[in-house]
Amino acid sequence: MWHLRARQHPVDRGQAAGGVLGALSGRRSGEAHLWLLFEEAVATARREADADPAAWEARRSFRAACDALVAVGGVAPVIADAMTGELEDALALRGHLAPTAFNGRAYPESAPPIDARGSADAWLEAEIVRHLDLLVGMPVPHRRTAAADTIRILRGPVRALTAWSGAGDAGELLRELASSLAAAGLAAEPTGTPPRPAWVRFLRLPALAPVADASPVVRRRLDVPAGVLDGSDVVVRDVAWSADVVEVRVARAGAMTPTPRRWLARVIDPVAGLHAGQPGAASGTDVVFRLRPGLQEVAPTMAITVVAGAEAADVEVVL
Amino acid sequence: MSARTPWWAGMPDAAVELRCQGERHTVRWHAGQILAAAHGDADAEAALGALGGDPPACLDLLARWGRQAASVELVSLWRRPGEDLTGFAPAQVRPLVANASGPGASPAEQRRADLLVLLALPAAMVDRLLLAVLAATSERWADDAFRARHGLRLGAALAARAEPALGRFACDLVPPGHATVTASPAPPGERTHITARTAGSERIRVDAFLGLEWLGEVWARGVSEVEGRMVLAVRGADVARHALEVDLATWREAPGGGWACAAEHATIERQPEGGWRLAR
Repeated sequence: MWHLRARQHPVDRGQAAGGVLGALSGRRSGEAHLWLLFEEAVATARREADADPAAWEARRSFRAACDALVAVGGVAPVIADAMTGELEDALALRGHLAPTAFNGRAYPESAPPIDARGSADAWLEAEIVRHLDLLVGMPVPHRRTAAADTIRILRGPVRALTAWSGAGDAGELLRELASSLAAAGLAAEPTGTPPRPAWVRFLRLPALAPVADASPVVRRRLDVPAGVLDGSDVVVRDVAWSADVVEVRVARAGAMTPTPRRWLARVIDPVAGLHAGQPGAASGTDVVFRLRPGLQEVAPTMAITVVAGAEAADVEVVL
Repeated sequence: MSARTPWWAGMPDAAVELRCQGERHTVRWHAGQILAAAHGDADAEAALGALGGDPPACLDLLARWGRQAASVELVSLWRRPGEDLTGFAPAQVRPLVANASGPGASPAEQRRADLLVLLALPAAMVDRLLLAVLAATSERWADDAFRARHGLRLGAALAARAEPALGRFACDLVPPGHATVTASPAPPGERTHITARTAGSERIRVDAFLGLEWLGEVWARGVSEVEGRMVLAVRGADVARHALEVDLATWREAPGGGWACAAEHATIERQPEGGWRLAR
């Protein structure tokens, strides 16, 4: 078995200058990386009795890389969809998916210009916080194994973003996460990067129950603009909290549900630290995020971040 | 393949048996052509079939083959070296294509049905279809629009298929694991060009620009390496002897430092058990 590295492609090495593949340029390095990853995934997914887990992992990893690159504008959605479909075809051909899953679609003749907005760091940090939220939903004894899975899962998007951007920055956040997991006792190997205190503190929380049934008891009206996401002005309408939940209600000027991309939110306050949660419910022009842990006492300020793809809107509010 | 030798030269025939018009018929691949021997005038039968009713299964297969013989996607989908178990079983795909062919089908449905049927053929037949695809791909490599659409796919495919052999070729210069190898398609009209240079005290870096035709001529024929020697190109075929004239890769010291790959002419012969060896 051979392994392809993310940066082997001539585009990634900066060696395609006007030449080898003619029309190629840096803006297609995301697609170039996905094709290398495709080859890697197919090489992994042979039709062997014990190959199913590897095939599923390859498929999951490929989708994660596609998601990351689409979010940052590194590859056009139509290209990512086509390549995901082709990988599923290859898996069906090797018995890992039913023949009915075979698409047989032709590769797009062209892709619309990529709508590149935001930054890889914004997307990756939101993704890390989403994983942190999943981790603290688990019983403490299971978190160590899940932490290793988290690092493994995030390594694929980080590699894709690194290959796409040509910079080494994407890995820094992952190293910060690894150090934070180590500082929280969930990973054995700290990296040279310092841990992030808010993440460590969050990871040390006891297992948190879902907040679906929790109702906030204190509400503060804010109506503060936070920035622009998906082309819409974003306003934080209010925050509310109880001992179990922190709720953030965000309005998008002129936009109606559903949200065009997955929105995520997180809050950091100086008393309880990080509050995180899964994507919120949307109705009308509002999106409501329900985050945990809750607040035992009122915090003097809150730093609220809302992320859509790779775009982030931040605002700090005084309560 | 060199200009004097067609892309299919030296490839053994392959065949599939079909149930067609209540009989067992054979569709055969021979010398780059797919033939339905039981149908004397295939074009006339196809024309009659187009007027109504189901076409004979043999001619239906020929039509599907013709429509997909330039589908670049097959390069990515079909099997890699050592993969023996790729493909669908005919019984699996029969119900999936029953209502997806014929005049009422959309182009996308038709294409899906074509591929399902073709990918359920015996692997040796699909290997020949892939050869046809790769030959068409090499011909179209000079087309800017083609490269813009499929260049990245084919670049990655070439890299994945050539780099293992290149890595072992680099072991003529350094111990295993001491070479960083990269492979890319050579620009249209340019020849294969492989160089190596030192990269640190004990490592070398190998940069290979291979003509895209390497995929069809060499890799798809299963002759990337013969007795540990990397094959750069196939120059001719002697069908009677089951032999191919090839260029083997060999290192020469480059005038400006480092090494450059040179071609060494050789003949290789197919063995009865299926492998290849250098002719003595």
